[in-house]
Amino acid sequence: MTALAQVLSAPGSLPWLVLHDVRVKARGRQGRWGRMIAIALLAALPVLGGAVLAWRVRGGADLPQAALGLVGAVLLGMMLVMISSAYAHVLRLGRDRGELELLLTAPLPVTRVVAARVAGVQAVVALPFLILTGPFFLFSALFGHVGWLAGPLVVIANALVATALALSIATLLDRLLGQARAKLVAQAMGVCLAGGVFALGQAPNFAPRWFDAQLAFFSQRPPAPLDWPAQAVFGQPLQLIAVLALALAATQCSAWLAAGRMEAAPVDPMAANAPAAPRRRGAVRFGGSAFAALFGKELKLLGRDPELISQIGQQLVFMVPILALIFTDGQVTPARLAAAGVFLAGALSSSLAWLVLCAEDAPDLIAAAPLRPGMAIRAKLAAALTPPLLMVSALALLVLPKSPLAVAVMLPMALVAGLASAAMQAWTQPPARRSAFRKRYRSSLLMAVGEFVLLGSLAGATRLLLAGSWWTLAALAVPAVMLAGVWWFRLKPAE
Amino acid sequence: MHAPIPALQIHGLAKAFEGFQAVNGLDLVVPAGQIYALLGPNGAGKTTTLRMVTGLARPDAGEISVFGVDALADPIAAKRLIAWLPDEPLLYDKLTPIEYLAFIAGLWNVPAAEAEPRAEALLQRLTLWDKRDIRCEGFSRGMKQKLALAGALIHEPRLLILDEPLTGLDAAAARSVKDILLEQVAAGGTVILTTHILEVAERIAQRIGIIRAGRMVAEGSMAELSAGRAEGTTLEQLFLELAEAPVAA
Repeated sequence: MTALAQVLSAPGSLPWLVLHDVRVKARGRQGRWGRMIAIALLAALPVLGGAVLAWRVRGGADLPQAALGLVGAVLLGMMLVMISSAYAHVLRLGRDRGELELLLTAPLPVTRVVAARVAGVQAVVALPFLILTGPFFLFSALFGHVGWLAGPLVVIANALVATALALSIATLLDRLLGQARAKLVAQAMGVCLAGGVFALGQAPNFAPRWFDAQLAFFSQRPPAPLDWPAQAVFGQPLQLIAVLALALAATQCSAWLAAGRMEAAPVDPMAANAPAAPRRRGAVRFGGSAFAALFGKELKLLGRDPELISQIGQQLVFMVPILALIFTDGQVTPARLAAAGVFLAGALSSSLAWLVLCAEDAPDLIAAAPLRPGMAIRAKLAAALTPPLLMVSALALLVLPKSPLAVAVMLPMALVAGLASAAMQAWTQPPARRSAFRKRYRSSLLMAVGEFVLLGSLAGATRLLLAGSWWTLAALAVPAVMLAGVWWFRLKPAE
Repeated sequence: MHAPIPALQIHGLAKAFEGFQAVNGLDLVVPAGQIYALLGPNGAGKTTTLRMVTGLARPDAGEISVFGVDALADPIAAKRLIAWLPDEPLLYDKLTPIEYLAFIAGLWNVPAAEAEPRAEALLQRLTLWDKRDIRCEGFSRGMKQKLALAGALIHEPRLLILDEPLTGLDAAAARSVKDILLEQVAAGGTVILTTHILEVAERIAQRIGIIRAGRMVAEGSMAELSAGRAEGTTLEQLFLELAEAPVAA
């Protein structure tokens, strides 16, 4: 046992390299313990659910023929999400040249360094699904279905194949489109896929008949060998061996492709990011006011970051089904659309306000400029609110023929929602890098919930106001109290 | 006859961070039309001092005057006269060099008729003209540093403050930057720079200040600093001697 531990922890071994990777990525993050507690609490749900489900199927057949189709469909859906997740990580393979080159200059086999990186991707892809499904398989084994312990192995095999597929797609797109465009296409695909999966999850609420029909279709057992992964889940030996062999081949394929990508990753960042040749764009305008310069700069920076746009787009895509559920009840009326518009405008403003106010790339440059107090904030705020207000204006054009009153209420309320959510960002969020956009709420669940309540109250107030209810005042009091509280506890500017 | 107004006059400047006294009653006068090298070991208070001059940090005590303008009472007027170039270039990756210069010109309210030809001349001079329409995200550190220098010069500051301006530059670019600084002074401007490359300070600076623990320990021209010492004493020898000397309480 001790010898095994020594082998595993030997400097330069594959586990040692993987642990190094994990340690580097995990260190220095704020709120680590809070996140771990949150993860532990979230992990408790699948444990409970898995135990209940396993108890319910304890007496059934070891190979439930009727479930093979459904299990196959679940594995297919899992594979799609895994490919999307793996793709995001694959794009970063070989990009952190500094650290990678340190490892590559060490007297270690290159294949081992590459394998450690790929193992990291595979682990990240597999882990959430193992947490979700693992308890069910473990409890099933305890309740008599020992063969179902193969389930987690199939999930891992799925992740290995998904990583290989993601690497293949990334390599193919890079060759066909070039790195920059391939990244853009991948992000757009990621948004569509994630939005699609989420919308599918909401389908029983919106389109129950369609969902039932799809369920019936996918419940049919597919022809062999397409049903092998599902059979492998239930421990069928031949099918399990076939799936594991496929996963092994995929791992080899991943190592080969990853090595190619790491070698191809340009050492010179100029070659990685810059267009091949200078492109003449529209003439650059000199001589505007400081306000115009700041406003234009912020809009340019927002519009030129496809990664951020895709992330913001993804958030909005996720919100649409929720809003539809909350505000429409299946019926689309001008008042309900106006409420949804206010919510979406606030949510979009919040994201953009964080980017322009908290994620300024050169704060010292702005601070050293001869600007009147508050002018930079006003210009940045105007830039953050412009896209959401344009979005709401487009919605207003749709609503206007049916209800001018709804438009008259929606537009100012959208502005209020935008300002309120921007204020929440400015008063609570510390300065950060733009790349931290996706992680900005990880350290503060309270902030995320607070923003949801704030925008929900304003959207509710819009609907109540259009209904002529006095409860509007109560709905408006919620954000007013919240903003006053946030202002009281706001972050003090640091030098 | 009035004495000429100094480019920068600092009196009794102090700044502490969580108990650490970064700048401790610093007095400094930088005459106009000169290159002034502010030297000191790491943590001596050079950057903190310059950040207070540029309005990026508020002093705990003291006075700062830029060409006679009280920088603490009227920071906007003082900022109009100053350009600040830190060791980490203040750039936006998603802007092109020409857009960046237009942005800076906008912040300092430089009229288009002046800013546009000046931007072209600066980019030509710093060999960035061919890359004027490429976003900065792929630029090397040296290219970013050159572009940041162009940004600092686009509004023709009377006082150019540079923190380690030669970091990351190749020999040709470093030479080009030094030439630009000398031209700046020849045209009546004033340059304050910090550097750890003492040969550069010795060669191009008219006056040198050495600070330690937030206080000035020696100040003057190279000849004044080496007075009373062996002939041929270099700035490096002086610096090492002064940097290790005990600081008076």
